[in-house]
Amino acid sequence: MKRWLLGVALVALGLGVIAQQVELVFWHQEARPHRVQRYEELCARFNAEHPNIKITPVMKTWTNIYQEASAAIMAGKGPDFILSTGDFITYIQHLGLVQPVDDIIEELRQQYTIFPSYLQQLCFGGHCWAVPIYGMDFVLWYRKDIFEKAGLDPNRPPRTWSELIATCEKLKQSGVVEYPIAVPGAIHLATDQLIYTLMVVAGAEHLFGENPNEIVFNNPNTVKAYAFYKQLFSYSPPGSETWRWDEPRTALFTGKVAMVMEKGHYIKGWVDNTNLPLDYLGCGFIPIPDEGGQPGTIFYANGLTLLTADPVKREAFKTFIKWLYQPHIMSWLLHMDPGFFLPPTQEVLYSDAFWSDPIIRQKVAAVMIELESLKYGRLPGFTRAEVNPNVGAISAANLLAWTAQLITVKGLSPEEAVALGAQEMAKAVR
Amino acid sequence: MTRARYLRLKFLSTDSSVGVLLIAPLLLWVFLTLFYPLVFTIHLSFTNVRYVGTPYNYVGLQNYRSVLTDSDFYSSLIRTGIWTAANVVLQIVGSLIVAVVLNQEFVGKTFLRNWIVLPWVLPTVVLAIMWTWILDPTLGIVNYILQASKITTSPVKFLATPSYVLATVIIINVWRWTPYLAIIVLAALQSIPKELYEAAAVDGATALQRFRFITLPSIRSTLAVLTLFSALWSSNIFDTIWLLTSGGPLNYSTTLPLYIYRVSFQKFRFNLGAASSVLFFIILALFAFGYLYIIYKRGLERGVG
Repeated sequence: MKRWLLGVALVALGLGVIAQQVELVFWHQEARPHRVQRYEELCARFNAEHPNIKITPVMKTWTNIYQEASAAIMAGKGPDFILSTGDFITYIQHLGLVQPVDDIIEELRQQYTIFPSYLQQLCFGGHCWAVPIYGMDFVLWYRKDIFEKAGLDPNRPPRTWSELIATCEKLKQSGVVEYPIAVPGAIHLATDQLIYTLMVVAGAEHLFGENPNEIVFNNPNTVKAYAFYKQLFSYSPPGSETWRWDEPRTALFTGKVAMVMEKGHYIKGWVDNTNLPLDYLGCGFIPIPDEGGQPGTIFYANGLTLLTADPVKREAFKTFIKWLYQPHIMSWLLHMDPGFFLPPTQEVLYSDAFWSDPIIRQKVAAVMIELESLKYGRLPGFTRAEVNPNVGAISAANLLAWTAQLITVKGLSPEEAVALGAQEMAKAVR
Repeated sequence: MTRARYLRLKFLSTDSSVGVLLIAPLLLWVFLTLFYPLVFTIHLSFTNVRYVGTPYNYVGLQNYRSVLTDSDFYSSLIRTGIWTAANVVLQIVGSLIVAVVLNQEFVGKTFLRNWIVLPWVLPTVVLAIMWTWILDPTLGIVNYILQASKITTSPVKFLATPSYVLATVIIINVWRWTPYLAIIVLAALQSIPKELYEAAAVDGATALQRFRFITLPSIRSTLAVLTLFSALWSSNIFDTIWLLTSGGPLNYSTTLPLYIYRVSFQKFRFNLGAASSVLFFIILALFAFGYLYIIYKRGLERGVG
């Protein structure tokens, strides 16, 4: 009888624990296998330390997330929280489930110093819509070994636009490489990102005026950025009109070109895909115009956006965030792609845990350049206090790249192309 | 025996009733996966919905007016026509030639018949990556041959030049689909009685005359059906073009399916995407019915309808 009663009590206890367990579904768009694995490990580690919360990670892709998110949310099968960026938030806000997280951010700020560049993109319209977890930005990657062979100083990457052109000329004349730089040119996000980076350093970071409905894309600085893109394009291999992310990377890794402007995933990519010393991969700031230029880059703040109004789930989400924000946990997550994912807080940046990764230790200078660039990082449409709620349509339609193709494919002048680009943008956000 | 049991047995005893029962699950499946989305798309085409799942209002025919005044819609429509016509002609003629060759006796015939379908079996993603590299201006084999043989002095940008891109994608698609159609034509060729050819040979008919007066009339119905299928399949192709060019450079390889995708999922105008889809559906349906009507009428005229 006693044994029977004990059994009943244990079952009841077990049922009680299960009943109290809060389950959260988490969508992330980090589809590369090593990142998928790290997210699964992260959630498993959290779940093990918090038996009353169960977070289930579900991998999606950035390519399809716009369609999948709307379909799932419409069918009532959306996630409880999701990895997001500023422009993705403006998209899912239309679906009506995005929850402000001002209280969570406030609580975190009492303990940590969150870098302002993150909040600039994730807080708008009077609220914060995501908790920052990492970011990434553009820098100049170059082959030190090729520079050396061409008689260039391998420790001094070009810093201005005229230096960059002079470097291209010297590389070309040396005959060490046929094409000095790889420039993506497809109507694709890869091209958008490069163009916007050039726009930022040329002082053309604003797509909108103070009034978020006013398009200010058509201005002399934007034209200057496109004119420089056109110049760089002439040094890129033939067929760059169809190039996206992979082609420039392959061209740099195989020594077909000597320079590419891209994000920090080149570090791990280099380690995984070449047998060359990591020292050969040099890093520099994005070169700026000789006159009227400013330091800058494109910067993506990634955050976690809460999509459930359930107060119990909100508490569980908050617990997860607090746990994740511990420097040793956050560093461990960022190490899934060392040198690519930049820390969101000063505490992670100054922690031994972040610098403990062997690849990061080898590329300290490169990571420092990425971190310094982050201060000047911008995202299209997120440079003003007010954000046009339809700004996502400009990014999703790759209108910066479309404008570039008017120059590279149709042969229009930068002035004509930018004027047409501005017209398309006005249509997109109407 | 109860009346209900009697009626049930009577229903099941007829061939047509069994047929209806067997086909019912498929009909239900088609209804759920085809009819419902179609009706929903038509419904969306009369609203101002930008993002699926958000509130909307009915706007009557406004979306149709917007689409029909959009120059990009017409250029995509014209490109779809060129794409479809070129694909149909090249695929049908190509498959006929390949099938006639494969129908001959020669060493390696079985090997060729088995392996010729390889392009069709290849996943589209593999095919796109493969052709992108083959045609790459700096690394691709095609440009290497063209330059080595002095046919061209500078690399040809097949997928990046407005005047070449559509023709290039058409050739790749024809390369992919022709073997599949050839196998179907080959099956039709093998059903032609050999005696007809023997009799014609005795009468002194040349090879060309045998092809014209025996082969072609015997496989006419197969070719007619294949033409329709080829036209419908080709006009709807999205993946091959998207993976090779994404519709670019600019819009130079954008056909209607890509236009609809861009409007819906890149510009987030589901209302306009839905209206374009409905218009495309009407165009295809008119073509299919018109084509079938002509085929049926010609069959009647020949007395084989």
